[in-house]
Amino acid sequence: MLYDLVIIGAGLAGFSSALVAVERGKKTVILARGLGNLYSSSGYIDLLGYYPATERKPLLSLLEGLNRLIDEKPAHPYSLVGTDMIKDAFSSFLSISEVMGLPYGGSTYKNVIMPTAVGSLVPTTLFPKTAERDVFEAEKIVVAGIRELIDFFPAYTAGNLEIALERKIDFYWVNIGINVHRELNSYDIALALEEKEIRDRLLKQLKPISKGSLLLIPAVLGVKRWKEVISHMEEELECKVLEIPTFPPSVMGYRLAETLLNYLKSKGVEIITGYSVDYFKGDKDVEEVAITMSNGRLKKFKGKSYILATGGILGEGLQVYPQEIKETIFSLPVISPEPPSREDFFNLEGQPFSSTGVFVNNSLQPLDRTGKVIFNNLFVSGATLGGYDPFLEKSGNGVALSTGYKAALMALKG
Amino acid sequence: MDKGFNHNLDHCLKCSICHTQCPVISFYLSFPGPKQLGPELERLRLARGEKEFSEIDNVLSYCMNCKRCDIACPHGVKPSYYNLKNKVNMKVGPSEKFRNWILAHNVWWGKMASIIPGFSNFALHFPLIKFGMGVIGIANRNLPAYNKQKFKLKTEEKTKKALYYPGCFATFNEPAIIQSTINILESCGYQVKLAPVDCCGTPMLTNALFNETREIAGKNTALFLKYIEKGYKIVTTCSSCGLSLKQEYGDILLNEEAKILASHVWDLFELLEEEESLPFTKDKEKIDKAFYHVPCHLKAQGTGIPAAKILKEFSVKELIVEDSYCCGIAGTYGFKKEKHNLSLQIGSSLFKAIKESSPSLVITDCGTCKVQIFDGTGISVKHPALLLNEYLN
Repeated sequence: MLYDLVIIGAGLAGFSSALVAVERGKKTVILARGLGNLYSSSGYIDLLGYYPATERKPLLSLLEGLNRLIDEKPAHPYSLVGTDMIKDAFSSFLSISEVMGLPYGGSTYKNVIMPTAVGSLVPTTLFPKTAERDVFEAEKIVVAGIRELIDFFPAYTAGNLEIALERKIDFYWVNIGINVHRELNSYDIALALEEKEIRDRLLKQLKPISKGSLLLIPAVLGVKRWKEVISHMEEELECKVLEIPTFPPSVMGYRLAETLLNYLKSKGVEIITGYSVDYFKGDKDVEEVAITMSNGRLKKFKGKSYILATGGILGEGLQVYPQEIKETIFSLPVISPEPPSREDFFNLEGQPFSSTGVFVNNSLQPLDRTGKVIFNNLFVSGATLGGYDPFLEKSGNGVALSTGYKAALMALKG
Repeated sequence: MDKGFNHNLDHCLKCSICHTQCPVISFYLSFPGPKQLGPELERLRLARGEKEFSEIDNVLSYCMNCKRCDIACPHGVKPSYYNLKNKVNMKVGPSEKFRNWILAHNVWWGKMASIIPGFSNFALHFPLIKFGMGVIGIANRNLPAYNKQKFKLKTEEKTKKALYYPGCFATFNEPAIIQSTINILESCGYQVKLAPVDCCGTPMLTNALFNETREIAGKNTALFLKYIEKGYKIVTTCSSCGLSLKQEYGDILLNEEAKILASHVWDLFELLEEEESLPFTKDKEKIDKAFYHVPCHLKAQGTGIPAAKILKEFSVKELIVEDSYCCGIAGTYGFKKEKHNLSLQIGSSLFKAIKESSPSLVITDCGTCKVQIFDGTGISVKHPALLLNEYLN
């Protein structure tokens, strides 16, 4: 079988490419070692949070900053994609998100400011529509923590938010009466709150304090039935609710990742996870790739084009060795800044290894050290790319979405 | 178990993606899930010495061994491996132990019951027997009926050789799957032999009979290797038998022989996918709409879903392919009294998806998935080989 597109990697970059492919009715397969780190993400899609990155002031007029970045950093993935195509990628995602049943809001014109679990304020670009809530406009803000949930402390969140917003913020602990003799994470609580009986316990305790407020609560309001849970809460409590993304397992990341995965499957994309691509054949073009299945035998996949979206160091698309960093599948040359790290971990200039990655041309084809294209039918996207620091800029999901989009357009052009 | 063999234990970042993929947690919140039971506790167990008993290990009996955690992990950790291995440490009461032992040895009961299937099937509905099963902790649910059949096999020598290992369900409950598979393989030009091998050991492994499984795995591997040396491919049609030969034997035996066996095992449809032309007709009328439930153990093999393409091409107009759900029965799990309800709850999302798409037929490779889906939906369920047999040229 010949696929139009073989995508390696099941993160936002790979899914973004697959969305383009299914829209054009192309036969697509996704091969991935496992489910992507998108599951652990906040569910927000940041285009560019800070620029210049050293200025720790959220970038509000987004396009201005983006254009400046493109002027100043020609090797940055955004410069290779270009403003118009970035806008296309974002607006295309916004409309598909409606179809998928997890509508997103926001636009590429401006960032919005969202509160975090530690009570800081961060810029983001696209967000689930249920998070369309403004902390600056709210008359009254209340932070609620759930006793059974690990890793969320409302006093801490409220305290830091008071400083950031320069206003009084109340906090409350509530108890939802689950006693299962084990640590419960956000996913567990979100499952539990899909049950009306447990939800009612939460509502009863929040009712006296939340009327007319903006209620900040960790993102645990339903795994699959979030729509029902959130609207039930807002109605009953007569307030607005804003979920705050939590530590992994992050329910907001889970909702986005599962929605994309199920949508792509329903559109006929084959998805095989659990086994990594560890073989390829091809000289100027990639002829085939293969995964090693459970029994150690290779299963080969032939495609007209291939997309490499295996992630960066965290996603293990790039593997760190004592002396070097390598791209794991095609051994593509990786360019990493010297020295790779700074002693002060939280240095405002960022850590140079964050911008390590594969270098590509305007079509996102990988380049060798002399600037020549290595494989004509291979396109690289997402965190595997070098030339940007997703942590410092807050641009990780934005780069994934837009380079995934462009990679697919380039791959399907031929 | 070899201490050096750790299945990437230290690659676990505690990202909990596996936790979100566990079908048990959704309906049984007390279950700590694959991350905690697997890599997290394994570190503790290694530090404390593996023989040391931890209270929490008792909950391992709730792990279905669906392996959804394994294939979800982005870092190559296999939580199910630790769960299987550590089940031996569970403190189980004598009656539960006895019940588990009975369920784990379904091959013996199958052998006896299928001698006179009519009598056995009648007896299984007999109230006193039902009561007795209840007493020892077997759920009051439909057991698959026993059947017997003589198989027709061609004997001429061919260069393409397949040793077909049907497994217990097809052998004792649905022998028609065996004849269908023989027909399909022979039409593809294979010389087919039936493997003289009993149970693969999976029911024992999931019921904490680790040493017995290792013994069986060793014995079976030696038998299979004799045929592999003669040029036979080992073919399976049961997803769980397939996975045990392909993966679990290697985890248990840790030897070269298991690796050789694994690499020579093919799911029937994986093999058909390699054929240049298939022996099925396009002239026969296709079924309008069918729902293909991909068993967890087929998904875990990493083969993709080769049967789906073949079914779409020859026998089903609209095929809904779903690999998102676990049916919840997990072999012997759903036959246990205390887990029966949980098992049906876990399957409820699948039942709902099936009913919503209102197919005339459900297709699945796994025998116990079939039992569960029929119980949950009342819609008839068929093995893909049975269906494709009707479309042979």
